[in-house]
Amino acid sequence: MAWSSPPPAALQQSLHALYSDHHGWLRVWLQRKLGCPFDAADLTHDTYARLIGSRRFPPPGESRGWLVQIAKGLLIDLRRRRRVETAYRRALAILTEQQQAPGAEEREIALETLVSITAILDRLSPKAREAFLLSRLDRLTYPQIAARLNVSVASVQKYMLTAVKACYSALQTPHVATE
Amino acid sequence: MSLPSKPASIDGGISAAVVEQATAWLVKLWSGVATPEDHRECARWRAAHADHEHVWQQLQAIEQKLDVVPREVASRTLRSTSPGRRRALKTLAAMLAGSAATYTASQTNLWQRYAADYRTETGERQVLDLADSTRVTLNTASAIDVRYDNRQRLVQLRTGEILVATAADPATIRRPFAVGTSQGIVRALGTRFTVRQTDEQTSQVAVFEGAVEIQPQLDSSRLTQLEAGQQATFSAHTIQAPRLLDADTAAWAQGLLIVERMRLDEFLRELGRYRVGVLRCDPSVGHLLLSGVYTIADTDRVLASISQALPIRVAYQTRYWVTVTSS
Repeated sequence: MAWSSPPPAALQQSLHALYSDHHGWLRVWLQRKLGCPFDAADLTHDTYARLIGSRRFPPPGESRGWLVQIAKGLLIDLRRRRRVETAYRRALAILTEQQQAPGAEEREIALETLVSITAILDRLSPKAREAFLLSRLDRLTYPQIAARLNVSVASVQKYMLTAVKACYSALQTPHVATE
Repeated sequence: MSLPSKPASIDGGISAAVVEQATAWLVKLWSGVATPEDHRECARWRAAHADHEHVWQQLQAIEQKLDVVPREVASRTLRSTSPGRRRALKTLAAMLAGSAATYTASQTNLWQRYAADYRTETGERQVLDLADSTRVTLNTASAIDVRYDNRQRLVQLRTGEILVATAADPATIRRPFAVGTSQGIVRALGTRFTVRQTDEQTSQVAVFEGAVEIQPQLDSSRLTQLEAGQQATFSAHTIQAPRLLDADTAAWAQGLLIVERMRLDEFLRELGRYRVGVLRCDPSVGHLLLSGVYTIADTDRVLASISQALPIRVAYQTRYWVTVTSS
């Protein structure tokens, strides 16, 4: 199923076939989901880039399923990114009078970080998410968090374990881990 | 699984048990109630095996990641992107039901108005242009304090209702603009919006342009952003899910009360805000529905006109004691 090291010529050929056979409907499908032709073109491109990056090619007859799978993941990522971007811009607009507004590069790094943290938090239950934020951002103790969330301290511990495990596994995945 | 002196590669697989233990240690030390003995024990665990220390270091990346972004920025961003923010709607409904119709300004409100920087009498309306060109319109029986300093532009709504049209801050360092109510803070971003102290327990915000952020007083983690075209009610603890804006919410600024299929008891409660004295609605007619555009400057005329439209009678015990009953 996976090609460990495909010969360049064969790779070129299969990639070409994969592109010419599928990019058309994929773009249409993405445009219907996104409502914007430019975003759709970008994500179509990203879908192929992700596929090539994975160095795994779909077996014959499964190309469509694979591409949709990848594209769906990218759609979720894009929507999350937009969501975080808006929230981040708001936060800056409200807070920057207290300190110097961050420069473009600093903003990009912050945004990247917030997107990756949001990706982790999105996998947690609302309570686990809030427990994690109360602990790490607001520096509350577990007993304080327990009181705030109206749960036992043992539950807070459980939420934190779940959260840290989610963080750890995200750190292990290739596109979140340090290059 | 690996040589004791060298950490196994991630792909080679550090045992799940080690990850489990490292996680447990980290969660323990983050509790805020860990003892010095806990810290020593954790240090001993880390030193016991290279893999332990390796995983421990990996977990430190979580903290490092969070440190990249200023804490308050991270807090706001991450909290407002939560997908499953459910609001305590039931609590709010109970709260609203509890605040029975008070048709006259309470004593507290009266006191609030007299101690305030700017105030309006019942039936009066006033437009203020503040130092930064922000325009605040006070509705009937309303009072505000204006607190501008070099950190912030704050308008404290003591009672009643205001329409705000913010202006860009002329100061060199931009100061945020906010309206405070008894229930919390409404922060503005280049905006036109109304804030109303509905009663002792709740405030209501409606946004016509731009966006605002609501922060209830007793739960600073519960931030909600309202976009243009939305309105929401909040208490000191909780914020109701935003609803579609009723565009006529700010018609009072033009001296009008515009209603669409509004219950008579609710309508009289609204009208009562513009009228000195008691305006009572008999429960037998409270459910009647009313639509129309009314001029709030002359509430007696409004009462006369609705008595033509609906099967009701307006009984004047005195000029300040009016009861609306079935005809």
